[in-house]
Amino acid sequence: MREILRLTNVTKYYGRGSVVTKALDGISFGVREGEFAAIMGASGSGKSTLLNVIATIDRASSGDICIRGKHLSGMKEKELAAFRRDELGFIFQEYNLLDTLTIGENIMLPLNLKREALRKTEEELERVAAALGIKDQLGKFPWELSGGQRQRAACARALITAPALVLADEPTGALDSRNSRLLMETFAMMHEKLQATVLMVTHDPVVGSYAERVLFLKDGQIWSEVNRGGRTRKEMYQAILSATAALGGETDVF
Amino acid sequence: MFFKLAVRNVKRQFTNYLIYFMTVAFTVALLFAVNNVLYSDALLLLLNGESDLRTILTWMVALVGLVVAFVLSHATSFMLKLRRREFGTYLTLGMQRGDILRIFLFEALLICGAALGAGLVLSLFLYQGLLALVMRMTEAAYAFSGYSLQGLRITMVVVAGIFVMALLVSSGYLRKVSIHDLLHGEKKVEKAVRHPVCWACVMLAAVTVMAGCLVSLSGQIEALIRESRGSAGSLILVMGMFALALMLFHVALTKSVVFLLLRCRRFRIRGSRTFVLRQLSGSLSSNALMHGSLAFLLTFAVIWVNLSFIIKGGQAEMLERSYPYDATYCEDRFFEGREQENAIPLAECERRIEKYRAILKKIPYQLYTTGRRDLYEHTCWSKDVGYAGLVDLFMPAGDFNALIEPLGYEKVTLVDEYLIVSIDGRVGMTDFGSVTFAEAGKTYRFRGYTEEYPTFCQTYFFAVVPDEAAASMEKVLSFVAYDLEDGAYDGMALRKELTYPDVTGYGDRRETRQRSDFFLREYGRQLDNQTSAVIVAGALFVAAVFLLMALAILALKMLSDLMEDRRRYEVLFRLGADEREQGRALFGQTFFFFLLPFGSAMVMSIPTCMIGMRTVDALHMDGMAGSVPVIASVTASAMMGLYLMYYGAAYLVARRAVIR
Repeated sequence: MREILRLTNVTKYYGRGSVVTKALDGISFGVREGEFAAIMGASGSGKSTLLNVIATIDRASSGDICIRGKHLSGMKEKELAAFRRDELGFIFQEYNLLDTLTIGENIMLPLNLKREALRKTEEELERVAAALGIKDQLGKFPWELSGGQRQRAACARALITAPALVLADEPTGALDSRNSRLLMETFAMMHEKLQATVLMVTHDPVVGSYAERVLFLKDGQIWSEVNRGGRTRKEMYQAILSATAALGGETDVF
Repeated sequence: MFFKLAVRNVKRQFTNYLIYFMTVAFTVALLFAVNNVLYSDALLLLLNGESDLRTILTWMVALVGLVVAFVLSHATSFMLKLRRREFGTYLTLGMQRGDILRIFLFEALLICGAALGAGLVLSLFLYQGLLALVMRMTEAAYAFSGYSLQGLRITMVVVAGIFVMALLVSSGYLRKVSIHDLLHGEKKVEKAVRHPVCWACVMLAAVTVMAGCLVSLSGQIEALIRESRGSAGSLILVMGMFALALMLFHVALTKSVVFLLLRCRRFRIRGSRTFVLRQLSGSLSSNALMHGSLAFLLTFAVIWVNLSFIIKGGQAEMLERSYPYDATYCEDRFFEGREQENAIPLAECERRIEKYRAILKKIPYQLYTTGRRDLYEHTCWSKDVGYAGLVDLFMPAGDFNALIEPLGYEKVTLVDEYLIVSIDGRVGMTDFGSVTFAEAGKTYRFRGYTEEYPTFCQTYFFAVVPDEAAASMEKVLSFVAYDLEDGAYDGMALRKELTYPDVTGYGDRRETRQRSDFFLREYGRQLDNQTSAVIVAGALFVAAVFLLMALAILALKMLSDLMEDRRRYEVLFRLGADEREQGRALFGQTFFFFLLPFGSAMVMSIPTCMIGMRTVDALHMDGMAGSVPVIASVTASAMMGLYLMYYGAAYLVARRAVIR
């Protein structure tokens, strides 16, 4: 499988003069097409910064990010917006569905912004809504749905443009355990049936255990990596817990 | 501590407070300027003791002050809503609601204090400008006028009233709002509107009612002018219905058009149109009444400004119709048949006139009567008690032609005929076609009716007859029309010189009044100038304040919703909407929100213009007909310019705050 995402020596600084924080410190890694990868780490480890930089919401201070063969560093604001619209899908912790739009309108919005034809837009809506089981909810407003349904709608919105990469920022953060499990099963389905490439940030080992590969971040650097290989989800969970314990063990100073 | 925090907040929030500050400052400037004019010695001299005009102006300022207090108090609460997250955080930190109110009070005090200062400074110039405008319209020489302490006191009272009202509204909001709503915004539940087609029908019905009201209004004004028929009650009823229909139109518009557009899939599929329509549907439906009220205020302002300029513009033509000659002497225009002991002899009057302007030409003319009511019997008021003593009046064609020929009218030739001349539209409704009268053995038949000529006599009507018909009649009224040397003179002073104390009534009911037997065109012109100056200045003041209030409330309402909008535009940005697309969406959302109440007012310029044209036609002001559309266009353009400037400022603030 070819690589969809490649980061090479990416750094990100915040602040100026004497007060400078290094949020990302020479990060390099890649994500293959159709892969489901997760990034884990403690608070302040730089995982959200990393996601924002990949999502083109923030710019890296140095290094190179390449998504589907396109290098982000030289792009202008307008090009970045078009790139976000065409190549990336987003799933946020707070769903970020627009409360004024119906579920159907929310899902169609990226295609509207792309000025796709009505027929294609409606076909795509039908496809993703059917795949995510929210066909009956399209005419409702976000406040009329449960948290899980809302997050599935957010997934559908992320997938409707068939993006190169779906970025998920703590997608289960606002859900209870049952809905979290249902959502992760949706993610697994997105990955297996729709061949979506997913890069997810989470701090929850259970959620991380659904991924094929988990990268651990510490002080802005990739500290370690856990690959599923032939492991079951339970074994993957145990491996994540061990890695997390080791990560915490090194940090804690008594 | 609270005061320190308030000072810091005001500095930090200056951009947000800018529009509020500008609005209060401009309002103070306008109020103080008008109050200064109202209580200035210059106006006192100008109005010549016409206390009615001053009373009208005082009431107008009081009414405007009330509207301003109401609008600004709501504007203040929008400012509070704009910063609700910050106040919510204060509450979670353990502050009392009273403490927050205190902080907000200090902030409002600082802003209002600064705006009061800025407004007063601005008004120092505005007052002189306004006074110069009034002086120019009354053709009085402008001289620097001192500022009135009474005007300042009243302005301070109005500003204090606005401040107290604002505080009451804000404290009411702060007392009932929950911390959750402050932190996360009030949960707006978007609902699909049911039956948008029905609402579209309601909208059309409201438009029909509005059109009906305007037609009725036009008819009533025309009836008032042509037939002196109509009542204030029915005018108020029509205006009230119009206001209600306007409100209903706005409610129905928000519940129909946007939702019908949302149903049109091909239209909404492009770019951020669905987003804009949904944003609009939320903001329009929750502000429909506010929009309706603002539309009414703006429409009122448009109508009044147009009307005042039509009055001003038509003044010269009206003057020509009311005073065809520079001066007209009437021996006894009230037909009282009594001696006037103190009357100034005509020769003496002429001597006094010549002190001001040389008499170039004198045209004497008379009115005669048969003592009968051959013609009056057919008029609509012939049975009224008050008209019982009236008899037919006749003017010989010779006298009449001598009067009309110098004015450029064609000579009238009558053979056994009579011509009814009137300035009262009700006379025109009388059918004289079969009415004849006999005099000295001859019968005279009806030749026609005309309102073409200006006012020669203060009578409802008279009949022009061949000279031989008048020869046997009794002379009842004698007139002399004077053509004076060209040039301006003090008409007020001349009128005073031609005025004498006249004793009327009998026994205990005897009273003395000041009376003049002369109608002076220059005096009438100066009097008209004063009235129209007050009307135009008043209309401009009211229009400026209403426009300012509408702009302020719309801008502040728009900005107070920015907290929610910021989050929504952030989502748009993440979904790949570039700056241009976001800008387009924000423009669409804000422009239509801003434009709607103003749009209706602008559309109303068209029927206002049409009513104006019908009115000037009814008043026989032919020369004015072409100017009415020009006045309407200039008024609309000036208001639109101001509106777009304010919208531009609000849009830029919103764009800076919302778009990434």
